[in-house]
Amino acid sequence: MIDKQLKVMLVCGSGIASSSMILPQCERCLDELGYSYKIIKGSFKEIKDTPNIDLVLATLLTMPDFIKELNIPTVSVAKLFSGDRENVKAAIKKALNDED
Amino acid sequence: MDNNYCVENLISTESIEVGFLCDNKNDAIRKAGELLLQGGFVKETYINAMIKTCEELGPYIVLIPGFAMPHARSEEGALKTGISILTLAKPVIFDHPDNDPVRLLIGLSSYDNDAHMKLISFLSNLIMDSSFVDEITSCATKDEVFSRMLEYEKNYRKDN
Repeated sequence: MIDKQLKVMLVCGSGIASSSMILPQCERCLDELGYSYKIIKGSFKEIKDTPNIDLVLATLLTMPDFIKELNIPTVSVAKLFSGDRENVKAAIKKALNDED
Repeated sequence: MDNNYCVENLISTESIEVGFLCDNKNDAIRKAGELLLQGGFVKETYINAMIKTCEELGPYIVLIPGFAMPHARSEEGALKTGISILTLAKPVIFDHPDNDPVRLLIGLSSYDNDAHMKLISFLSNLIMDSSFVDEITSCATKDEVFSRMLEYEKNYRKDN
């Protein structure tokens, strides 16, 4: 159970292309999981300059090392382009340690 | 939907090519970039930036099976918002775990925020259509691709 409002950062390589395309699908996933959230978009390089992020969603398939080193729960949303929400929702729950 | 946005401003037949033959992803991306250059959407520097972005960040640009959307950040040489469309004579491997091989590329240049968001919304819609890649790759000429895109746009406007 997650009660607080999650600060979610959605990133891609450019900050404006694939992240913009997938934003509605990300919102749908978070809505279906019942979370309260606020999404900000950016490029993956901006993550370290953004405070208090609870969850990073990235259109990348694998995360560069410097993102892993930030120790923020990070989930790839690449599968959302093919419409696979279940996979991504499960990954988000796991990343946030959200037990049923 | 305001009338400033229309496919005609975002795609030019100078930026479309069908049946391009190459055997590696960098050549395919480079060609998509050269088409953007020909259409006046980008400076030459953008082309290498497109290749570099894919190399550094991996093949995430292969968004759905058969389809890649190479692009770079605007500051790397975008002049105006628009796309190039490239179909390949032979599919090419991009090393994506699920969506290889690629037969259709849409190169993307983003410059103006308003036109860009409308283009992105239009493209999102296109890739959700499961027949999109087949439809475009079956076009024999660039004029066919262009009119197919106009049709997609007409349908998109109806629902949006």
